[in-house]
Amino acid sequence: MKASRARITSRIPVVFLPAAIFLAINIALNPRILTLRGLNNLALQTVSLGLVVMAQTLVVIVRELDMSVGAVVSMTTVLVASTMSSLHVLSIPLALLVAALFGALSGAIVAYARIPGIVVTLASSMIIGGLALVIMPQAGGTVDDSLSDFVNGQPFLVPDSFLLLLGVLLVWQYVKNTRLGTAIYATGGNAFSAYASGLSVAGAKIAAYTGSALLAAIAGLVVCGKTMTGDATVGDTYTLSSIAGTVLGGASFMGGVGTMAGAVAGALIIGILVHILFFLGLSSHYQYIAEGLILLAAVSIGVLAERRGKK
Amino acid sequence: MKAGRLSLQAESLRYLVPYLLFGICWLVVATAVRGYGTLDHFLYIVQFAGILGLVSAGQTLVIVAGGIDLSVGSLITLSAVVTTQTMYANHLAFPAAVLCGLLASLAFGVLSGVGVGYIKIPPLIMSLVSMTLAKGAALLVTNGSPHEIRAQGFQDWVVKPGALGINGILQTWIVVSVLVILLMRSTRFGKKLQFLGSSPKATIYAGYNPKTLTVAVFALSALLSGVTGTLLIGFTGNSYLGMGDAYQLSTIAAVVMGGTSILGGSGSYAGTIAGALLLTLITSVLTLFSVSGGAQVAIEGTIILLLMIAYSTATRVRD
Repeated sequence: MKASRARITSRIPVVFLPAAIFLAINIALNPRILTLRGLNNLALQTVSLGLVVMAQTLVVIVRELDMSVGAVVSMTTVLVASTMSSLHVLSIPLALLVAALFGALSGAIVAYARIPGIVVTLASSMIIGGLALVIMPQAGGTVDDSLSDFVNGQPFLVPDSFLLLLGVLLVWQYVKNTRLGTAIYATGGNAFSAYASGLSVAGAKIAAYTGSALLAAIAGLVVCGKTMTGDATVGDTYTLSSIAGTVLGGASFMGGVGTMAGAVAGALIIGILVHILFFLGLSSHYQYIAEGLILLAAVSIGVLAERRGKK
Repeated sequence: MKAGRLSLQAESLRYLVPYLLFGICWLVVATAVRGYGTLDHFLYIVQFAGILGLVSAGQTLVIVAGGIDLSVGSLITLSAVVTTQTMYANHLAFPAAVLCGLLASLAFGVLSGVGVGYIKIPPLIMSLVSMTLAKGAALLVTNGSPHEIRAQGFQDWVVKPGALGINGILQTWIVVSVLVILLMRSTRFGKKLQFLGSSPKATIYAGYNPKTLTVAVFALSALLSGVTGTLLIGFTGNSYLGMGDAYQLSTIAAVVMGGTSILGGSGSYAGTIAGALLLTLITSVLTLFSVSGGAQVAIEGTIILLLMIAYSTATRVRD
C-alpha cells in the first residue's frame, strides 16, 4: 500500500512539470492566451483530445490497450452526420449505444477468449473504421446547428464542452470508489489477487472497454460539433495521441496506475505543444515528426521513471 | 513426453489449417467463378500474395520474438519515396538510390529495436513511434509530392515473367521464403527468437543478449519492408505517400491466419505464406464482386478476430 502510494506520488511531477513548462513557453510566445478568449480556445481544442486520453487511460489502468478509439471517434461522426436529418437529437444516443456495444464486444473477447486487447482492438478498429467508410465513403452528411451551438457555446464563462470534461471527471470520482472502480484498479495491479478477492476481472475489463468506447464516442460528438460533418477518417490520429497523452498523464503500461486528472493534464500538454508548433509557423510536414517525438519522449520518460521507481 | 508429442502434432496441424482453408476457398472460387481456378489464375494470386508475403516475413519474425511491428507500412512507403527522390533530385544511379531507400528503412528498424530492446518501450508503442516518424520523414523528403522512377530494366524484371515463367516479385519471394524458413528452423538465431518470444528471462539465462536480438529482428523486418517498397515501385513505376499503408494491418492478418501465436514464442513462416495466399484470394474475390474498400477492411478485421478466437480456444482446450 505504501509502495503504491510512493509510486503514485513519484509520478506527479512527470505529469505537471512539462505541462507547466509548455504553458510558460506558450504564454511567453503568445501572451494573449491568458485572456478568457485565449483560454477558452485552448480548452475547446483540448476537449476532444482530453476525452480520448481519458478513454485510453481507463483501458491502460486494467493493463490493456485500446487501438480502436480513433475508429470510434470516426464512426460517431459518421453515424451522427448520416442520421441527424431524420432522427435529430436521437442520433446522439444511437451513436453512443453503437459505440458502447462495440466496446463491450471488444472487452468481452479480451476477457473471455483471453486474447491481448491490443490485437483484438486492432481488428475491431478495422471493422469499425471499415464500416464507417461503408456508411459514408466521402466526408459529408448534415449536423444540426444545435450540436455545434452546444459544443462551441459558452453561456457559463467556459465552453459547454469543457463542462463535459468536468462532468466525466465527476462521474469517474464516483465510479472510482465503487466496487467496480476497485475492480478496475485491482485488475490492472494484480489480476490474480483481484480474482482471489472476489472481484470480477472479466467484468472490470468489459467495463473499461465499454467506458473507453463511450468516452471516445463523446469525443466524436465534440469533433462532429466542431467540424459539422461526418468523416470516416477524422479520428485516425486520435489513437496515437491518446496513447501519448495517457503516458504523459502518468498512467503505467504495467496497469493499476493512472488518474483521470492526469489524463486531462496529459491531453493539455499535447494541446499546448500543438499550439506552440502552430504559433512557431512550422510547416504541417513536421506534424508527424513532432507527434512521434512527443510520444517517444513521453514513453521513454514513463518507462525510465518506472524502472527507477522499482530500484 | 506424451503430452509433448501431442502438442507437437497440434502445432504442425495448426500450420496445416491455413493451407487447408486456402484449398477449400480455392475449390469454391474455382467452381463458382468463371475463369478462376486455372494455372494462370493461381500464378496471378501467388504473384500478388508475394508482396504481402515478403512484408509478412518480417512481421512473422517480430511476432515470434514476442513483439509486433506497426511500422511496416510506412517503411515500405519511406524506402520507395527515398529511392525515387534520390534518383530524381540527387541524380543517383538506380542501384545507389535503392540502397539509400533500404538504408532509410533500416535506420527506423534499428530505432524500433533500440527503443524496445534497450529502453524497454512496449513494441506496439515503439513501432507506432517509428511509423509516425517515418511518415513525417517521407513527407519531408518528398516535400509532399513523390516522383516516378525511370529504371526500365528493373521494372521489366519485376513485372514480366522471366526465369521459370515467374516474375521478379515471385523470384524474390521464393528466395526470401527459403531463407526465412531456414533461419527460423535450423539456425541458432531462430531458436533465440523463440526463446525471446516465450520468455525474455529464459533468453538471458540461456546466455543470449535479448537487447541485440531485438534490434536484429526489428532491423530485419524493416529491411524486408524496404525490399518490398523497392519491388512496389518497380511494379507500379511510381511512388506515392501512403502506398504501404494497406500492409500495416494485413501483415498481422496474414501472420495470425498462418497460425503463429500472437503472444509470441511459436510460429512458422510456412504458415504465414498460406495466410498471405488465403488473404490475397479473399481480397481478389471481394474485389471481383466490387465490394468497397471499407467493407473489405471490415471483413478482413472480422476474419482476424474470428481466427484469433478460434486459435485461442483451441489452444486452451489442448492445455
